[in-house]
Amino acid sequence: MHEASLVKSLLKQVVQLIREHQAVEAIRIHVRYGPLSGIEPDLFESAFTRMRANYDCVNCLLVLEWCPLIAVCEACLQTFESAELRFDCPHCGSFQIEFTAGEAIILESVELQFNETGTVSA
Amino acid sequence: MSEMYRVITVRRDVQSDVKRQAAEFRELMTRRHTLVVNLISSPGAGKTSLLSTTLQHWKQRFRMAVLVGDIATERDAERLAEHAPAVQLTTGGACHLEHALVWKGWQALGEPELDFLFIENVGNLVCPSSHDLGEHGRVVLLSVTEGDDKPAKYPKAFYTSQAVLISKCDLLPHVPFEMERAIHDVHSIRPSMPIFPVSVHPVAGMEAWCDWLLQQRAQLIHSCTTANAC
Repeated sequence: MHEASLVKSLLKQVVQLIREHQAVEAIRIHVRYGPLSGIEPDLFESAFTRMRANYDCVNCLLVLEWCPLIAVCEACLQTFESAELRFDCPHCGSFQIEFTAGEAIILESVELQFNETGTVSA
Repeated sequence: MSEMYRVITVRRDVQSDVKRQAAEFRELMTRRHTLVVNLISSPGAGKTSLLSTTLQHWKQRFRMAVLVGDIATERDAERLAEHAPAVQLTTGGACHLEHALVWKGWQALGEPELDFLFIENVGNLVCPSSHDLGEHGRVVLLSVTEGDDKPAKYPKAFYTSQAVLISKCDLLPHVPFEMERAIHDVHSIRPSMPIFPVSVHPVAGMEAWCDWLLQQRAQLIHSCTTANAC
């Protein structure tokens, strides 16, 4: 159920992109997630398969890619990988960090299909 | 007719629209000087009891209301309605509250002028961590009966919160809960996180918890006034 809510948000964005680019449909979407994203990939994929037809994405494939938890320290400005879910900077010890990858679920890209003229058929 | 394919780079948070709506709600509540607090915990940690005791502690002194999230029943809202306006948000199976439901609950309250709006989330220490409800402060409740290892096991719940309440402290003599270990693990995630040991049978620790709420609201009003935003 948790994953279903996130998949719904994802599919709404994909539908918006199809309309903005006047495409026929989305055929592949690339999503990146990480250790703090709070999703179970199998459940996310099954929710996507179950829900995509409701958003005119019946042929759309989901490419789900895991990425490590990366943070930047606001004190010393160094970037580091938080391999063990650490919340302090290994360089200077500060807790003033911001996660730049592996926390949010990111829609990286969408592969869209167009007709010959590049627009939706009338 | 031949087909064309094109890859569009997006690089956008899947939850960006929902987060924007939650942020707009938070700004609205800031302008109205209403501190919104989202209380999260495992099932049975004592959220409803803690809120009931808080409402009674402050009764007649502040304008308060509660939005209560549960998968089923309206029992918690009925219990809290004895002390303040309360609306039940029944998720019908969802394991967490989302901002859209909080917005409906706010409208069901009648969009009143409030000093504090408390949101009691669905009992779940995982999923609520990933959903911004539009709150100013997220508070995680950890009961001594759950074990002192929960901060380490559920880091996102504690990382995304601004305070910790350790509940049912009256039971400490009877459970193997090491307070120092729990505090250490919380501060390994957020070193300045305020931690408030509380109990409701008997009532204890409410002054420090309520003082923190008052400070948060005072800071909210100050920031709003300073920014000339209200």
